[in-house]
Amino acid sequence: MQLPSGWDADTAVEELYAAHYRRLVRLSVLLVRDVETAEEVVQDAFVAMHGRWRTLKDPEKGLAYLRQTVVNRSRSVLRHRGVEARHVVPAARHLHGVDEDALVSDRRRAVLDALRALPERQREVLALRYYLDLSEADIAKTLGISRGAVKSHASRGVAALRSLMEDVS
Amino acid sequence: MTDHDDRIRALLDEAVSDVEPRHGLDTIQARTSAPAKTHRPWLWGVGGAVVATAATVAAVAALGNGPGSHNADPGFAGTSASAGQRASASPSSNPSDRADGEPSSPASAGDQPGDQPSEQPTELPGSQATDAPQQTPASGNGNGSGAEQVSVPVYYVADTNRGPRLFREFHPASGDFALDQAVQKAVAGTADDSDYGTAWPSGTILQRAQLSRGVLSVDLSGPVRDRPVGMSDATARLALQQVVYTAQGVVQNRVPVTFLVDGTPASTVLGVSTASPVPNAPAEEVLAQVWVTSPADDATVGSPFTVEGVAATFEANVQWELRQGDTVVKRGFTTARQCCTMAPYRFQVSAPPGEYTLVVHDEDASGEHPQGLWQDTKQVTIR
Repeated sequence: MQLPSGWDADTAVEELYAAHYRRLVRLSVLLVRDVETAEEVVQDAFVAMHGRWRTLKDPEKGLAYLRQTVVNRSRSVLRHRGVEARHVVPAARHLHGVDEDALVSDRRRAVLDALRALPERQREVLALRYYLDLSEADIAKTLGISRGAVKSHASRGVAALRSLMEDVS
Repeated sequence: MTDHDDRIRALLDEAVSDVEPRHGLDTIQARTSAPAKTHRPWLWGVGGAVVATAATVAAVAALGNGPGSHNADPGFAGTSASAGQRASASPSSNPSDRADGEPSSPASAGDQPGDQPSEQPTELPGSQATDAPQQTPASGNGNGSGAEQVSVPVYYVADTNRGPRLFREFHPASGDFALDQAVQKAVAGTADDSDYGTAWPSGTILQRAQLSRGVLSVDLSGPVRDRPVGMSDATARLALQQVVYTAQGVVQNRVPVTFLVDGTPASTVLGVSTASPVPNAPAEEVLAQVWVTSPADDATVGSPFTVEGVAATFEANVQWELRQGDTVVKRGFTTARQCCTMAPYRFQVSAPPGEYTLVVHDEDASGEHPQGLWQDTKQVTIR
């Protein structure tokens, strides 16, 4: 897993793009929902990382910086555009006999809706913990909050998500 | 609990498993490769101010052809030209909701209602007044989209005859993240002018800068709490001022900056007490008193070309020389619009095609520094 060092900024962008672009866009989709916005957010993050590669130097730090920037910018976009979801579309439509695809896409929508309904910190902690599988310490670092805060956001987020998702399973 | 964990993991995975982003590498590369930059790492440890200035002129002259035509930044020519007029002529045209690039524009607007432009001259004459119009979209491509480009002031550090001082550049930024991007550039020292740099230790990372409910906060991480060995108190304070001037310039509001480290309020940053928000230091104490705003370093220009900048000099006198190596090809002088306070100046220079070093400086009455106490140099190629 240890990546080679000694990259210049351009190489860092190429390598980290190849390895992480899709995952980062998906992470941002979990936060902002809209794919196009997520793409912009992640591209901005890569541009920002390129600009500061001189101080990052190391691929692991580069990735940590990307993660952090994606989360920060996703949050900023949401606030700026005032598109915070204030209500949740009722989750599953309980269509009987529909095919698997429709069920899956209903469930997708339900999960994204539920995430959007959560307070931003809870949403961020859930995405980092369950989608990126980050450790508590890494989440704390990424969000600039204490590990205790990560724990409490996580447990409240999980509870809220479960109640929002009760209809879907 | 593990069952639930797995369930949530699976749900989140599935929720975005159908997301296939379009190819984005080209877009990223187009944006990162734009102006080739020659970064000369600026070391905060370097002390010899006087020597460094002289060496700078020589180094820039010797470097000769920098990375080609860097007439890059549309923000420069377009907006700074009319800085003075626009600030006074049409205060209402200053778009109020985009100045901060932040979610909290209602709060910031509340702090300083639409009368900002008229306040600037009394608060910090030239400097803020010329920060302001840069907030207009650099490319004029209308409003609305989050990707809108604005031009933001970023303050860097360079050596002068009076020790390290702040110089300002304008950089393009995307509307939504203008504040973050500007502060990030300031701490990282990614300047167009290779003489400019940052006073922040390497490894300093901006987490977030925002103006929210009237509080302008800058959250950093990295080795920033304690003062690095070898950094002087003056340099540490100047580092903080880099951030203060940049952030205030972007949001167009002289609200003191609250420093956070790793998300929590910091009692010290670089060993400087930040227990209470840090106000901007007086301009005459921290700003270099002669700046060249345009052309940018390494720019390619036609002839004649216009030089613009801001200066606070004795009797508003601004002198300039166009050099090739040690040879002064042309020289002249102009006066800034006002004496003794940072005020805009502009003049035209014509010369045959070639590579030159443009030196703009004040006049030193004592005669001790023939090139003035303050100077800014730009490498220009006349085509």
